[in-house]
Amino acid sequence: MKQKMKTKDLIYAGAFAALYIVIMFIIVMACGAVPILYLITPLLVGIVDGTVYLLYTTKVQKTGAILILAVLFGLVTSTNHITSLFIAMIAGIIAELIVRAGDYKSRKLYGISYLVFNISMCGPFTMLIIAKQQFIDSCIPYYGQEYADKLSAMTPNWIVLVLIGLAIVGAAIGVLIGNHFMKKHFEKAGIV
Amino acid sequence: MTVNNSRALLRFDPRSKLLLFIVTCVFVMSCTQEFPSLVVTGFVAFLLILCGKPFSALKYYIPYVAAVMLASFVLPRAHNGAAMLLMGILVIVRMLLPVVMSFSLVFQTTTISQFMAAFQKMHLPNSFIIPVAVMFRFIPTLQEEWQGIRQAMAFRDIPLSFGGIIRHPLQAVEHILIPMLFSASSVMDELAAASLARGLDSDRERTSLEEVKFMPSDYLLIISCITIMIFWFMYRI
Repeated sequence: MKQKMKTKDLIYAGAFAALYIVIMFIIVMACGAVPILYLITPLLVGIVDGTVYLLYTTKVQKTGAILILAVLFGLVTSTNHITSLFIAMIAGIIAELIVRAGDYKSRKLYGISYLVFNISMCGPFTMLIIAKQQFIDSCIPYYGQEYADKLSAMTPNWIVLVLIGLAIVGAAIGVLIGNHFMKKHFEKAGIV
Repeated sequence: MTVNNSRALLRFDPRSKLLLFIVTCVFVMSCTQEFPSLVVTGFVAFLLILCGKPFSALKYYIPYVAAVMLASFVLPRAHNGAAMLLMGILVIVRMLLPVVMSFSLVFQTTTISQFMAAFQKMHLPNSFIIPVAVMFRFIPTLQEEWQGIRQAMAFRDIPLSFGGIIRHPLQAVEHILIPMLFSASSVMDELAAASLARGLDSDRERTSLEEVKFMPSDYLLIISCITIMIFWFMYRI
């Protein structure tokens, strides 16, 4: 069922991207005040946005659908560093290849692809590796020295691996919850 | 989303407004000093007034100034957890409000067809134009839907409190997310139907009744965006 996306699918893509990104922003904003909570946003976003991703991929099962979502996500999150866009695109392409292996039909592979897709959430944090001092410095005028010190102590270089792990675990929980919601609500209502 | 331009003193091209939006986002994310951010945000507020949105300009600018003032007052005295939390909230306000302001400058004064026409002039492919245009068009819709959901929750006596979300996170997600997805997907279907009726499906190049082209005011806006960026880079070095 390899089909090009039609106008209707493109509209779904844009609308679901809006949903996905708004939910992500609400979570990041709600967690931004506390450093430790800020670092677990990949987990939380994975848990909540999993349902959105699953509903989207059920509605649009076509080539490029996931990639468009990834590009839009990357564009929005790359305001402070351009690497976010590349990471989101790479995650999107890999997720796309995973579903392609199932001919865009297998629900199981869609679930697995979200584990990869959610790594895009780590994009903004890559600054912690490539420009850590700049990132910490930029926190000082906002939050003061103490917050910056705490953040610096909490973020050694390997933290990014932890974040990727958190993103994958969050996505796994999100897929489980999402499947539950799909059965409980959307299939019953005949939306999918 | 209603686009009412009757009180606008000036009209800008969607492309130059988008440039301003990007410049504000980049600026807000990287600028931490009080004075430059007050000036740039003030400039956006001024443009909002020119474009016939004085109320939204004041609604966002006054809290913004208050947050910046409060932050510079609290910061030297912030040593305990509560003050840190307050600082965190203030930072969110400081980052969010300018973005919301330039967002409403772009999207409350531009119709979706103006957007599409402008994007088409930039020779972008349809598979990029449509999702981007729909995404931005959809964000205010989500806000409206959210108000409806909150009313419905209040009506059914489901409280929306911070403690409730902490104690039953899964249930809170279900109560908020599922209605949101339901109403959003019905809006999507309507949008798709409307777009088919407008002939968005055809492969021919679209014509537009609205003429989209750069006016002198647009060049001024572009020049001021570039000036902001240049000043900002010189200031940082």
